[in-house]
Amino acid sequence: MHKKLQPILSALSGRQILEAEACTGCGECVKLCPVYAIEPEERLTARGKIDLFKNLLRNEKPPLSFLLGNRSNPNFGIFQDALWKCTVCGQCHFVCPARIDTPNLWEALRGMMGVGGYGPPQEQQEYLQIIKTHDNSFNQPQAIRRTWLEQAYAEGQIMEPVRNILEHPAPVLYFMGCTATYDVTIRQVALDTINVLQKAGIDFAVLGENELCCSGKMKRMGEVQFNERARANIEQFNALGIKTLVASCAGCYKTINEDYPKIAPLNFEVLHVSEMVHRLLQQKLIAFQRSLEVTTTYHDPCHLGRNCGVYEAPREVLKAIPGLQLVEMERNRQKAKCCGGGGGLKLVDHDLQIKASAARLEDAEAIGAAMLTTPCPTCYLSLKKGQEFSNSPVELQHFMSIVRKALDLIGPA
Amino acid sequence: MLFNHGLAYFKPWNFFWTVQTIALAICIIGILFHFIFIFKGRQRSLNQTINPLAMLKRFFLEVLFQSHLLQSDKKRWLMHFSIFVGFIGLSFLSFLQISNIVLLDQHFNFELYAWKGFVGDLFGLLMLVGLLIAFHRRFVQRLPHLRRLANDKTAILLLLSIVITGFMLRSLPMALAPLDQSQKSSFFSLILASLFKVLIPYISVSLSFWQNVLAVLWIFHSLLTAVFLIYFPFSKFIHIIFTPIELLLNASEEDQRRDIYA
Ligand code: SF4
Ligand code: SF4
Repeated sequence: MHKKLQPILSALSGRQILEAEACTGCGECVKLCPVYAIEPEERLTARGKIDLFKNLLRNEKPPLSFLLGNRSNPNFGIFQDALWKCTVCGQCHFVCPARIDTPNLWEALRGMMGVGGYGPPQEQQEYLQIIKTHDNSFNQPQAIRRTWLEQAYAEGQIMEPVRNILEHPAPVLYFMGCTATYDVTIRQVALDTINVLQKAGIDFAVLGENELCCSGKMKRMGEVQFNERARANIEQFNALGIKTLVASCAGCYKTINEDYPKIAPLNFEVLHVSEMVHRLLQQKLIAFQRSLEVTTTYHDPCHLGRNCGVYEAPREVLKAIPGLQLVEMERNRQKAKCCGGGGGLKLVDHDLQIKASAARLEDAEAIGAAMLTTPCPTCYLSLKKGQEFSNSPVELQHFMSIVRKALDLIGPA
Repeated sequence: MLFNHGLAYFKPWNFFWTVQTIALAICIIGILFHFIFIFKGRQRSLNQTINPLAMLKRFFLEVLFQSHLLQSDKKRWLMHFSIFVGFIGLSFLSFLQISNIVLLDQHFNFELYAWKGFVGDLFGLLMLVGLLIAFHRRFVQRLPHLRRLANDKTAILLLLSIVITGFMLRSLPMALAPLDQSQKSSFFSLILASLFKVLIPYISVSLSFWQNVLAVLWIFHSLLTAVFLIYFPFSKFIHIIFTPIELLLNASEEDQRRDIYA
């Protein structure tokens, strides 16, 4: 057997090899791939990746390589590049007539390439190393997870102090996530969420410096240590005795809600903050005060929509805001275009990510939306880059900013 | 008992059996190697339990009827469904015919021949329709998401050649000799035969020339089917085996893996 492929094959399950064999080559996945739309290279599509993988495999099958000749010339470099130049958005899975579970296949293949020493790319390796050493993806001390909230309260940015769940058990855990904690340009999302929960009188608390990165990025980038880290988080969460975990980021939500239960069962429900707001509205614990006269469109984060099926809750919230007119982009819900921010693409090919985001803003512009909103801090930051790049006239607002304004809560105007 | 299939011509059956047996052996070995390779995957699959009910439902809805394609693109569904049903039907008929000859040492009786004439034409026509749509999409429309790989083109052209030569072998002899009652059910071949009947008088060649043409066509057709069998495991045709398996396994697993289809 080819030396290079040996470790990879032993790291695969038969089921995963079968998935590659099941590709019909129909090309449905080509039509909607956000990466291919910007860089139209076959190898970047789901079909292209599967073909490259099959070519590597074919070279390992002696009778096949004997019969077909060594025509497929295994090229790990090309395969590696194609495998990581992907947002793991799941669009190809949704349109695939064979229902090949591509996102999981990409993650598994990334992991397997990693085992063989062919990935992840340098930029991602450095990023993953940061998570491993700091328990957050921002290369910052964990203590900031506590101190910034204390400071926010001192500065009057939140209505009441936020309790630590390890000292004051509560039925609801607000899992802020690294981005909404450390990225000062998007921190307002966490403040808005806290203010909404406090306004509704929800008994909630946070983990503060004990909150560890959900490690979702590790999973997307194929880091095999994900399982171990996920297990530690699951044990911590399950021991808290909470009823509900609320996540800000669509990526954290997908990881905790979808990926964790495959490792060990969770003893609580997981809600995305947009679902939480929807529930609070339904329970009449909050009611919108202010009218927002704006034509807005909604961008479905891949991890929230396509991957977890949360499409309607955020839309219902937006529709409930007086004056706000919700319009849909041509590609919405299951077919929503990815902003390019997922799967670690941002680290591997920044330009590509920015162009994908700019394309999404063009979609919003095309339907005459004055504003585009999304409930994921990561998508928001990616879209922001796209907006700056394309000088799009479409105003970008995080979903929680709109909610805060409509509820007339403290925060920037 | 043999029926009058139209004009009689030379059919080298020994050649046919030799070529087909070798091709079938290569095909089976090729498929086996795919399976052996799949079982080389060392990791345990996450999803272990089987849901037979979901699999049965998926088998009828998506493997046989291909409802997922119907929902997304009707023309594509027609293409795929026709090729799939035609292919399975013709393969089954060939299997029936071969096992009849090999195991029972007899050709079909009159009723069976008439029945085979009808369903053979039906499946052949279905395949022809599907393949012509595929040909149109790939070579005329040149849809951008379709690859320009030799493998994809070969697959269509190979099947199309098999179906076209197959229909010629059924209809040309009908056009060149009086019809047998059992052939009346071969509805599409009859239409083609009547077209040939119009054309043949314009080609002033002897009957023995036509017999030679048919013999060559017969050998060519059997060679094409042998090439198909050999090509099958090493080409995109292999998805005919693995895509249904994938769909069925997915039916069992999607809930467990909290899939987007679940
Ligand atoms: S997951 Fe998304 S980016 Fe990756 S190949 Fe599929 S459609 Fe393209
Ligand atoms: S849609 Fe699915 S079956 Fe079709 S080419 Fe893409 S991965 Fe293969």
